Amino acid sequence: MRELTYVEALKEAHFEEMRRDERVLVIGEDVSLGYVFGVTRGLVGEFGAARVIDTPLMESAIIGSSLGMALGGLRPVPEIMFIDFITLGWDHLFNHAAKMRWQTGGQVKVPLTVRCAYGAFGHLRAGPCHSQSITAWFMHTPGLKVAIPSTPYDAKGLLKTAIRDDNPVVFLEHKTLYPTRGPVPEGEYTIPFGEADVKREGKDVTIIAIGNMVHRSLSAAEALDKEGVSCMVIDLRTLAPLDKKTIVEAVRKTERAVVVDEDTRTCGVGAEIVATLVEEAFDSLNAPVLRVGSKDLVIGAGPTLEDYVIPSVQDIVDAVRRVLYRT
Amino acid sequence: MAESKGNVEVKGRQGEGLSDERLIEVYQLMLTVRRWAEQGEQLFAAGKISSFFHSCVGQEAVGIGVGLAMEPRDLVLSYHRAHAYGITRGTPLEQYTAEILSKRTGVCQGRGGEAHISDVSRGNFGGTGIVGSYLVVAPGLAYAQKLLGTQAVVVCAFGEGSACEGEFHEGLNLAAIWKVPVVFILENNGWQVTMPNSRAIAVQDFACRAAGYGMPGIVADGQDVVAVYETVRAAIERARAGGGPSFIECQTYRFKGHSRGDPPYGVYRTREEVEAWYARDPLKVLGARLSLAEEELARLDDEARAAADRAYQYALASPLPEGQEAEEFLYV
Repeated sequence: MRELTYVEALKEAHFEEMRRDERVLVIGEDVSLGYVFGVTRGLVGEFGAARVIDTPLMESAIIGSSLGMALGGLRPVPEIMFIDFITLGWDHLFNHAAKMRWQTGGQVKVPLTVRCAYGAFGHLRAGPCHSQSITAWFMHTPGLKVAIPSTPYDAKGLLKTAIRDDNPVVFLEHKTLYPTRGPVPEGEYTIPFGEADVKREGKDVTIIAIGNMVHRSLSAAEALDKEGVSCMVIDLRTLAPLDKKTIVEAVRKTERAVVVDEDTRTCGVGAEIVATLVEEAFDSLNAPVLRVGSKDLVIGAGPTLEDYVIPSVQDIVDAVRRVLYRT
Repeated sequence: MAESKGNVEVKGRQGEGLSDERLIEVYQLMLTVRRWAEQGEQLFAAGKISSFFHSCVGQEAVGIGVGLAMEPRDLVLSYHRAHAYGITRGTPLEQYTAEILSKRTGVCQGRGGEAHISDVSRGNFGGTGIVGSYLVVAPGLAYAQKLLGTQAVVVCAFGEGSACEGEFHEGLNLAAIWKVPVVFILENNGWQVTMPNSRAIAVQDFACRAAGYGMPGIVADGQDVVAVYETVRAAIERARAGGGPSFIECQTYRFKGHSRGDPPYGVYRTREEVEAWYARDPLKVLGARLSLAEEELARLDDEARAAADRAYQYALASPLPEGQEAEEFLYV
């Protein structure tokens, strides 16, 4: 099977969906040139400036005007260049896009897909306002759907689903994943929301992860394999809707679980999954479910400060050892 | 669009000229809105209504003038005090009132309440609970009209409180650079809750800002429904013809307090100021054009009160939604 980068996979999804439905359009800062990460580069040549809209700096109006476009019958795909900037447009996403269908009694729909680049960069230490994950806020908002692909295959399939969904979707792309390669089939496919993916089979512990942390979890699983510990790694792929069935069944089998995500740990996605597993799989558990997340601190501009905060492969290994009572 | 029996039918309304015959109907509509708002205040004072009520008494000419200047295909984004707009656009008074009382029979099935009386089938998206938020939505909604070729114009109506929010800046700039069909209507009633304009802005009026964004800015007498109508009509047709957005500041006055429980004067406004504006009551201004006889005025008033009465009786008698209805409509 051919391999594409995460960027190429997302770009292909854009081309296909914009050809399929002329109401789909892209809007954001520097999108026609595809700054900064290149996903939207090339679209303007085929679809024109009316459907690939460069904006001034105006995150509030990017989200707000996209909401207006959606109310007017278009299917906008706004891009937030760094997820940290979404705070400027938060009102429009949280108080309006997420609520308007509900509060009008179904008179409107908001087919909006907000794409955001998130996470600690790794090689480029981007500092406090360009490195965050903010994931929990979106999962916490009734009325939003949240997709967070970890591979090029998942990225293309989930983005196509997001664009076709008539609800507001927040689509989270970890920055370090953009250049990563992976198999992507030719031809049409979509991935439904609410279906987690078992990325690695195992029987001693279930590691549940999202985004970039799926790869760190797989690395941790490799390391633990050498110690004779067999880890299952489950990629949630979407947070809302959440595939509870897959994770509950997995935990019933392995009886131990660790949840890994890059957002700050207090009230994070990890905390939510732990609570869910306690509610639904308590009798199967042989150890507390642990969450691995960023420390509740600010991400500094230099390497040592960033690395201190962001979960490492070692942090995941340590958490697995703790639930196996091996420390 | 179907009209309810409770509404005043202004024949050939919305987009057509305001002839003298129509002006009597406009007067009747304005009187109905007035009596309806007054009755709403009384019911709130009597504790019959659980949520907010932002009286539009004194400001009716703006909403009615704008509503009549729009064509049926045009769209309006408004705000929490903008009841005259929604009623003029044709939402039956019964369903409009039921929504304010959060009843199941309301336009939004009791979900949105007063701030969100959306009647999308009549092109009315209603208000927003977050003052100013629609300023950036309007350019996007208008962009969709342009791209889809609907020929519809978007009216974005708000108070001067919205004009001090950041969205005002982003929205006006965006509408201007996109050159989309938006008419921004600022209802300047002099007060953002307790803050007067003199402390809220460092300039004389808001219309002067429009030039800074590259669109025409006009000040209109918000108490004269004909002046509002004519000014807004011209702006709407200019937008429809591709001339881009414009900004109209309608100078008016909030006769009552901000909301329930806030008195018209005595706390932060003087009685003298409020009573000076009574001389510019929009009903008086329109009445002066018509010279209606006493008996005719009394008859119109009876009908207006009866229409308001029917609307509130309907709303009071309507059921609240069942709690579990909250489960519906979160997602498509």
